[in-house]
Amino acid sequence: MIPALPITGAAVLAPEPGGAQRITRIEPPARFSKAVLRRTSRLGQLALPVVEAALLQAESTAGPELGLVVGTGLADLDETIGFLQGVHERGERFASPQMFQRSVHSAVAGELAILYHLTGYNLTVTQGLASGEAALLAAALAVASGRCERCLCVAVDGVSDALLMALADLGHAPEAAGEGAAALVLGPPDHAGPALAWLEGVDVAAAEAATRGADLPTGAHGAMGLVRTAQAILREPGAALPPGVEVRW
Amino acid sequence: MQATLHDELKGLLVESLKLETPADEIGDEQPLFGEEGLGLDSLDVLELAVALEYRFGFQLQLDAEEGRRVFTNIKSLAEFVNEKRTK
Repeated sequence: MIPALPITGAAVLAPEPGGAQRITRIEPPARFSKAVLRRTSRLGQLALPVVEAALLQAESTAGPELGLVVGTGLADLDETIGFLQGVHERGERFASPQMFQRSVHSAVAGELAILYHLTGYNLTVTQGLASGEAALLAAALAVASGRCERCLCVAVDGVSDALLMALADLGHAPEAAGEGAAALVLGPPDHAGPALAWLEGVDVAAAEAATRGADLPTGAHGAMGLVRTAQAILREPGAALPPGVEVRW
Repeated sequence: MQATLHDELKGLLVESLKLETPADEIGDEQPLFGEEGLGLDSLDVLELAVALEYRFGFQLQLDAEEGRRVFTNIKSLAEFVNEKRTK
């Protein structure tokens, strides 16, 4: 059980409904230079616009009191495969240092921490197609337990060539893959200011159960639960909360 | 011959560091570091060093001063590679 927590900022980046499963237009915050963006992973670049918008909406300043929880199902698979391919083809001695740092699941959390000076609580969680919901629960628990006063919860997943090949091997259509990013800012339970909505509960088991057994839904990805949550909070047309997430407006 | 190595190094730079600057727009004496140059930093040099070792078959062992000299621009890098390359 978690206490009701205010959601003071929310932002989402997802393909247009019925459109391509890859997000082709990413507009990073203008204050980051090209040199910084060149070094940032594609997943990090997907996360930047939503983090920027959510923090702005929440009027949240970075500091040790602002925690960060990132959820991702597969992390940056292209970087992981690229790194391992380099090791396989050229040997360990010639492995790419930059691909290595972007290949780990916590790379996005690291990039966001550096770019936004987030020096507090920092956690990356992964739980398959329920990674977004798992991140939301972890963020809520971090605030409820006092590990941080406020928490930025981010979920991000991408489509890679390797993922499309793996899905094809398993008999899935390419449309089964999707990508997206979402960010929510959770405040403390005694928050007195304005809030977009209040998070009242996250049941990760219910979220997982909803994805189990059935064929992969169109555009499925680990961050999808948080993307759908953010879309519902922002009252985007046709948006509905995913199973397991309880929100009060 | 020298022009070919310069071009090869520029291509390697763009490819391994994912630079937006096209290889043919990089000057032989354009600084690799700093805002007036290509804006590389120490992490880029680490990546570039691995790529150079693999492509040209040598092991880079430079102290800080030598490193700054070698990685000044394409021209200085080409001189070093010419001297050390085994392939």
